[in-house]
Amino acid sequence: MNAVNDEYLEAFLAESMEHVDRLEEGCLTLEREGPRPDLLADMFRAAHTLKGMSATMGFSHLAQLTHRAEDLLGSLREQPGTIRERHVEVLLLAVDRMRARLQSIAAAAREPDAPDDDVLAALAEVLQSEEAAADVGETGAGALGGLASLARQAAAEGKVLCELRIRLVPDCVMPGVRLAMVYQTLKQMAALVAARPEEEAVMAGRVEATEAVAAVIVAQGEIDQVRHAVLDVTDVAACEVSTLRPPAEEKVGTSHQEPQGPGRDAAPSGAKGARSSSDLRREPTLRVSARKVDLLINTLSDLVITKTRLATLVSSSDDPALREAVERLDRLTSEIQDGLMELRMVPVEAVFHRYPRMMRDLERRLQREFDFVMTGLDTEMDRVVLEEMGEVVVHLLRNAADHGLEPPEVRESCGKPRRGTIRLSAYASGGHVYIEVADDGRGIDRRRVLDSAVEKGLITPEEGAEMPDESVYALLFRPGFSTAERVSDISGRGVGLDAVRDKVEALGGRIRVESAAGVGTTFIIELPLTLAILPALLVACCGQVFAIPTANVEEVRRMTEDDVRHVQDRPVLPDAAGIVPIVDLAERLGLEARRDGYPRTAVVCRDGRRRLALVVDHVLDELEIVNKPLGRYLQGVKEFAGATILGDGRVSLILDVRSIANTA
Amino acid sequence: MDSYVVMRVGPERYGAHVSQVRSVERVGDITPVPRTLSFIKGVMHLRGSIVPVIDLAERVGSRRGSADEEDRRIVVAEVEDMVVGMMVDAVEDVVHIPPEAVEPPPPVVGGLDAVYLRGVARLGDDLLVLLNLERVFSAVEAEQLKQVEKLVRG
Repeated sequence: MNAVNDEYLEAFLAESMEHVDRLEEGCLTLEREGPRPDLLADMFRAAHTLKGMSATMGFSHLAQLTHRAEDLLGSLREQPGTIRERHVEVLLLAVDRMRARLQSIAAAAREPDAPDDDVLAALAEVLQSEEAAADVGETGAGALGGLASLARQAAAEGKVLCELRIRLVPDCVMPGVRLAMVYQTLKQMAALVAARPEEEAVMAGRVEATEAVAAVIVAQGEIDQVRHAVLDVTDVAACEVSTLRPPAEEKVGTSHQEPQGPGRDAAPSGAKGARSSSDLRREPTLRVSARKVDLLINTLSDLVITKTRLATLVSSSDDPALREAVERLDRLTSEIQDGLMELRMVPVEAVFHRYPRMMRDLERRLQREFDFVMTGLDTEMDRVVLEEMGEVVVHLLRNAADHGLEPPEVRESCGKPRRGTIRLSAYASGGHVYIEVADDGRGIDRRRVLDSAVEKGLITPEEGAEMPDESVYALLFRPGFSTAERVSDISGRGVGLDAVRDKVEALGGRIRVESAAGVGTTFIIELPLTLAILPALLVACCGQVFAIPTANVEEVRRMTEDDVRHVQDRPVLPDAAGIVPIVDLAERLGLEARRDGYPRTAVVCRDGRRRLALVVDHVLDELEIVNKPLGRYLQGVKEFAGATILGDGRVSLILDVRSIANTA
Repeated sequence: MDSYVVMRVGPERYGAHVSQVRSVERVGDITPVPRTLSFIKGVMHLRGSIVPVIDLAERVGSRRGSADEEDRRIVVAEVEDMVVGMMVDAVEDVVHIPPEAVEPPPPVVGGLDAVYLRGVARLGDDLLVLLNLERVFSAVEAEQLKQVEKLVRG
């Protein structure tokens, strides 16, 4: 594939991903709020555009997949009243597959050969039942057809007509027998009025299908019992119920349909975030690959260095015009620098937009009931920081859904609303960006955290009794605390939270937690606006210059022999806040034999709660540096977090205080 | 027809496929990186980015020739998102070699395992050893990790 095609491909991928996102967002809204004509039209357009683009690019499987999705959406657009849970499921399945295809295309510039037979079949299947339903008319009747009069009859008797879609597990050994048992159950508990496959055939053992649709008439409110009885039959994987309402006779047009949501209790929820996000996307934007911006930033730092050199040369000149020109160059360069750094900023939406889907799936899997609300989606963050945070936020969201929130029954018994709320918010304030994950669950149980910490030997019971809540919660982030399985079961917190904290701190941020028993828990992450530029201390050690991020530096001390104590033969530096282990940087880095003699210069560093005193030759300077990654080739090197280019063009390595403290 | 950059290291000539070579640079300031493998000479600054530099002679187990300092170069290669500079005694030429002229590598060439080679081609009277840079670089990664692990475990 040549360069021109590559450009097209990039544009194609970016745009397609956006359409796929739109489809997914549409599915979730559809599920929450039921069908709206504009929503379905929008989804249809997204699928249509995708189909066209992928056909043009020659990705025939993707084109076929999107074509089928478009067909289904087209049909649903005509008949919004017939939308069932199953439709959304299948559409989401198709969305996942489209995304997977786009990802393989991005990786290999060609699409995988295997066709999506499974998804295509599922789309065809729901489309068929959709068309069958359409034949009945716009009554909201389901897949069996011809049920309008039965629905009316049921209503007249004060009962309801329900359609059940029953699915057996795919590897069911005797599907015919199982279906017969299902039908038997239905007949015992309700009036079975229609079924496909037909009752007679099933009872006669002439059927081997693993799916069935049945219509029953039951008394109001009894359908749940029927459903449970069906689910109790061996090998039944799913049973979806929809209530078929009698057609509204006086209605002439079809313009307004009762939003018959796919779920049985499709309550509107968390729509705010989703809506503002689509507004956001319509803003006119320029699509530039992140790589191009990074390249430009690299060139810029080269320019900054050249400018610094020039300024040094000019400083000895007494030509005022020359000096003025260099000063102007200086100002312009920093303006470009600011502007470019801003280009690296992206709205959190870019990563957060995946979460509603994830939370929806989580809600089902964990059998929790909650609304997921996102705010501050247009908050901007450094692209790199944001991408790194993606995982952390996923972790916290899962934690909130799994452990933070109580099961619905427990909530009700505590007098709380059955549905919980999980809130993800982002905002900027005072040179920092904040991300909060909040739930309105049970809160952290102080006693249990303390018991467990005492048991693990992290604290003594006496210490625990004195601890303010804040310190108790901080225990959750201790390594070793979280690995205890029992803790996660009891307190519901602590699974991998030390990993979360590590990640946040590696990005120069901080995390803390607030909690109130019975009211909920909030994790608050504070992050620097950008990683690219950071203030640092330059130190000399054995003729080399190293940078230590100022965020890690507590103080610089002149250390005499009298200051040094020994604990188990290891040198330590006591100060007001405790005892700090002394690490000779030269020795730690294997540079040269340690120097003797005092006084020495010690840089007292802090990483989280850990401190250490790094012995260096001397401190050179404190300045803002541009952090540059060492690259994949040197990723095994743990002592350095990156490198920076000094004013004279030489490279200085940035110490990774965390890693040095870990192995000290 | 494939094109290769011919690099001289001691008495040997090695070829790097042009599609993997980004640029050829003069040797400038190299900042040593402590705690790495000995053939990793350090990092250098190249148009705003940081590029690790390896000594190709040491890497392939070849003798460093009595090269003229003026001739020494750093060949910057990019392979699978990895950018690495290879310090060589000299860069001689770019040659075109038809694929059919490339012979499979003998098991060991100049101390370098065959897995690190693409093949061998005749270049006049000399042999040109074609490097498989993916392997040369990725094996380093693995070795480095091993070494780091050793350090951590003591």
